[in-house]
Order: sequence, then structure tokens, then C-alpha cells
Amino acid sequence: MKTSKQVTQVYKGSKPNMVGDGFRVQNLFPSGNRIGKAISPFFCSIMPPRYTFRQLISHGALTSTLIGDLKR
Amino acid sequence: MTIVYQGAPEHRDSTGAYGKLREGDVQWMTAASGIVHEEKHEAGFSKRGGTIEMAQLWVNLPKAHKMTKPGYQTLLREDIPVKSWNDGSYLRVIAGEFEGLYGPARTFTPINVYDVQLKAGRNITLQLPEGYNTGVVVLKGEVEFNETHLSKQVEIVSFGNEGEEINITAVSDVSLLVLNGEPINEPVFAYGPFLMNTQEEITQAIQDYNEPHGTIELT
Repeated sequence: MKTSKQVTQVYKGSKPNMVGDGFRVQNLFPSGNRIGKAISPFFCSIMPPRYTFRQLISHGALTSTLIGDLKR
Repeated sequence: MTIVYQGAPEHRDSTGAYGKLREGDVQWMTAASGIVHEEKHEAGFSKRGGTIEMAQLWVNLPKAHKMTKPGYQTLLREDIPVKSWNDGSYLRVIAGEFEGLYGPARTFTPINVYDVQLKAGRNITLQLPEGYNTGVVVLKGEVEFNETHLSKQVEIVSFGNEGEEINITAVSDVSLLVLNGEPINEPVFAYGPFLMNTQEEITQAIQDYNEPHGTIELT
């Protein structure tokens, strides 16, 4: 007899925000929660750890133009 | 991956791929070693106006395929197999398999992706492999899982890997996105649009992107 998969977690969407020329977007995968791991391989882009700009600058990964933009 | 419910987006990218999508079509872009892309309303739609409704999500690639050649697939609605019920409910197999129907998407790891539209009162049971991760996105309406858990828009319900089936009852007319796949048990490091397995790889990816003759070929 087959068994049911059990609900382990429920994630609620954020409030909609407007992008571009009036495009209503609702993000279901807020940064910082662990849903990326829970349903890998989907939504992995929200998984921590993420880098700060400063860490990347120290690795020499950003161009001087971008560093200049960051300092403004 | 972008599923178009309403509207007409247009796509082009650095591999030279181009696509216009209509209601029911699916766009599946594989960034892999690197791609630059543009998404906008199709010109005619921009003039006419109207509602655009899409769901967009991301699927990770295993380390072995992170630097594979980028690609693009337009999955036309007529090429996506449909399981229908007599009350107007239906399930479209975008990737993977459902009751002998196979989705057209080419993927790097085993996954099942279903677009499910159910009329109020319809009850279905999904058979899904044990050991795979599962999430159901409730885009519209109210739905009951396994006769115990009530969920409504807009939520993602994740399920444990044990067990092989999920019972779904539509309390109202519902729109669901079922995501099921073999987990990729690898570390993930992300920065902006870059996603790799290690910090060093992220740094290298950004350097590659900034190189005038880097790994992204503009056509």
C-alpha cells in the first residue's frame, strides 16, 4: 500500500511589489529562508550564503567602474 | 523557467535564441556557463495592452553541468501533453512524467513539473517518487492536501521525501504548480545572477563575465 507524503512546511508569499513600468510581482521565495534546500533543485537562487559587495571587492572580482559606483 | 498564463512575452539571448510566447507556452532557458537575455512584452501585445500573468522559477544544475553550453527551449502549448477530466480540470506535464504522459522539457536531473488547473470539488492523486523533494505552489484558490491540510493562495507547501503520493482536493477552482525532483545535495553559493558551488567559482564567474572575450558569446 502506498503512503502519503506529509506536509512539512508552508511558505507564504510576500506582498506584491511593482517593477519596471507597472509590472506587479509577488516573490514567493523570500531571501534568507531555507526553502531552497527543502525543495532542491528548485529555487536554489535564494539559498544563503550570499556575498556582500565588500567581500567581492576584496577578491578583485568587481571592476573599478563598479567599485566607483558603490562608493558614490 | 517561465510559464505564461496570460499575455505575450518575447525573449532573445546571447546564444542567438529568440522566442515569442503565448498563453500556455513555457520558456525554459538554461543559463549554465553564462547567458545574457532580454524579456519584454511582444510588440503587438504592448500596443494592444492587456493582462500579463506568468510564474517564473529556477532549477539548479549539478556541479558536473554548471559550465555546460547555455541553451533555450520554447515549449509550445500544443507540445505539452495534457491529462484532462470531464469537468474541465486538467494537468499539463511540462517536465517529467505523469500517468504515461511525458513532458517536452529537457532537464539535467530527474524532475517533474506539472501545471494543474482544477475545478472546485475535483479530487486527484499524484504518484511521485519516494526520495524526491516536492513543493506545490498554490497560485489561485483554496485546496486541501491529504484530506488534512488546507492551503490557499499564495503559498508554497513543501512535503517530506518519504511516501509516494499526494491527494489533492480543490475546495474552489485552483491553479497549482507541482514541483518534484531529485535533490541536488551540493553546496550552493549565489551572488546576484551568478550561482555556483563555491566562493572561488563565484569570483571566477564574475571575472569571466567582465572579460571582453569571456565565456559569454554575444551573437
